[in-house]
Amino acid sequence: MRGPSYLRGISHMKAMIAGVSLIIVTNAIVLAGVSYNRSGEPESTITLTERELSLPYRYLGKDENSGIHLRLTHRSRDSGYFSRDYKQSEILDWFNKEKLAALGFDVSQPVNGDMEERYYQRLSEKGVFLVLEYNGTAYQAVLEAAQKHVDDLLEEQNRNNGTNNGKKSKKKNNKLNRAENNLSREKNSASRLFVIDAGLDRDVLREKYADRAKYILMKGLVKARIKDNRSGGTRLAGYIKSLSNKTVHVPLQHHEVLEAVVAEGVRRNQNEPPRFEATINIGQRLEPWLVGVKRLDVE
Amino acid sequence: MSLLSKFEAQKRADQVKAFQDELALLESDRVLSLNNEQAQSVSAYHQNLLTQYSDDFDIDQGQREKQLSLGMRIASFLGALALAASVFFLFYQFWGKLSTTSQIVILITGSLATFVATLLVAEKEKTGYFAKLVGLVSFACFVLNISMLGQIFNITPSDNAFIVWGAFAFLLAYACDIRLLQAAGILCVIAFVSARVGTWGGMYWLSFGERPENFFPVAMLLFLFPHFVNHHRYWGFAPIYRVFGLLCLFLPVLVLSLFGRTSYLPLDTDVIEGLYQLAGFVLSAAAVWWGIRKHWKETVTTGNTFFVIYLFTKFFDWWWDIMPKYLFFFIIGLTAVLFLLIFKRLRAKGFFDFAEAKA
Repeated sequence: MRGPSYLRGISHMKAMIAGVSLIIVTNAIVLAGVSYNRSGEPESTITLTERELSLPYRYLGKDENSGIHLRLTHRSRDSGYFSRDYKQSEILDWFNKEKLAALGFDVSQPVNGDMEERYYQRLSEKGVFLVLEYNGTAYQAVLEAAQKHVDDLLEEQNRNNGTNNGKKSKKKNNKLNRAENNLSREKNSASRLFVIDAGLDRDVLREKYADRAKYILMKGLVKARIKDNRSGGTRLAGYIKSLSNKTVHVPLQHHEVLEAVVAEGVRRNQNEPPRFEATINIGQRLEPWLVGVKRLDVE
Repeated sequence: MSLLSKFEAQKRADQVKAFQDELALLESDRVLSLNNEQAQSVSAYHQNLLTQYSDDFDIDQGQREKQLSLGMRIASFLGALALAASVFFLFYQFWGKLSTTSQIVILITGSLATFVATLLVAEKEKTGYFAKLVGLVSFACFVLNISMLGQIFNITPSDNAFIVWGAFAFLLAYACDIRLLQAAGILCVIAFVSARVGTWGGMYWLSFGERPENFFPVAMLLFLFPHFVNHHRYWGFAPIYRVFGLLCLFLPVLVLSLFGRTSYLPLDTDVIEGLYQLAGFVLSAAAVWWGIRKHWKETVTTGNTFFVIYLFTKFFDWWWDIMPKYLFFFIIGLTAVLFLLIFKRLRAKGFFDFAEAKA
């Protein structure tokens, strides 16, 4: 505001220099960080499909945001869909009390009682390095469990063929249908990207999971909680609260394929195969960026 | 007399107007009459003074001007918010159609251009209404600049963004005397300091809101800041610091008095809630007392408001379920009457005289 010179605390010229410097320096620091992240060999390079990199639902309706980003769909014991009709593979139960302790959580309290539950609820989340496995043993185990569940139900149906009354038979059929749908979903459309380990030392994890096209490291938040066992009783387990970089921005040069997918609309049912694959690099700061998108032929 | 702020110039102009009105009454009642020479001399002196203040500070010289100024302040506030929102949506509408290089160039150029424009507008236009409009757009451009770079390059979110946003907002606020941007800067400081306190407490920075006690250090910082840094040149800045400081204290206390489980304290939830209920009453009463002593109207008002909120929250807690509704509201009404009587007695005994004398 104009006024006598003694009113002005900061002259506009000084403010101009300070403000322009602030804008330029801040942008320079941010872009230098980006440059560092993308420098040298990427920490990992992985090709995922629509199963693991989904388009947010909002793109499928009218939206005023012309930008596109893909959302990383990871699975772990507590995130991502799992059928509750059968016991899942134990390979998913890696995030146990011992792992929590290794990540620095104080797990000395017992797990029964309200006070203890409150204690674990109040434990803060921790930032850790997560290992995500693509199409590996965790996915195979989940697929096998789904297949086994279908096989068991079929076998049971064959065994009891002719002995069930109508109502019971219908119930069994429903269960079988559900199991077959689940198997089809696991085979065709469910994410194959599983969080299989967590640690505080990035180098140690990379040494343990050396294949950079199969295992990617990302930063994430984990927390402890008390869970009910299927067999009764309680146990302490960790869970993945979030990934630090869950979305991947799609630059203009890769829009064409994805805009065509967006134009097709939502997949009609959950068992349809993926329509595109995308290659992402993970950089020095474990921040991802998209390097290619390819349309997949859907038979 | 050397004046330091628009506020003091406006106060002096109001005194002149009051003097002129009172003189007219005295003359019409024939109590006092200035001769022509005296009347002309006083009138010329006042006219000079008002013209100078009007040129230097754009003061309001009459009631109608004051009402218009209020309208303009409201219009510029709403306009500034709307334009800032418009900048966000404009970018979102078209950014997907631009290459990454174009996006970066537009974001940085937008920040620079609107920043320079704000200073130029502030220099040319003395009322400050348009500077406020452009200033908030400039702040929106800078926030958009940094947050969009984060999205474009998938950068891990960091609380450091609040430092630069806060610095930018304060720079514009102090350079162009824009309290709206001061408030924006304060909000950035609140977010940054609370996030850092949360981090020291073992939390991830984005979760700092889960523990209301994270806000206490920044509450103290904001409340004391104008005490250590003289704001005479910036009318209205100090009260805004104090109000935000008190809000950062009273709101978390209110939350903790209702949800003790969110506290850091290793105590039983009921004990924590009881402690914070007590703290709420003591602190809000202390704010009222301190505000009266220091003649800080905003501190008195904020303290009063929260004392009433704490009181009615407690009433609700104690009696809503067990009392018929007519009785509950009757007790609230009686409480209000009781407060009126207490204040009346205090005023009769001259308890507030020291405040009014200086206000």
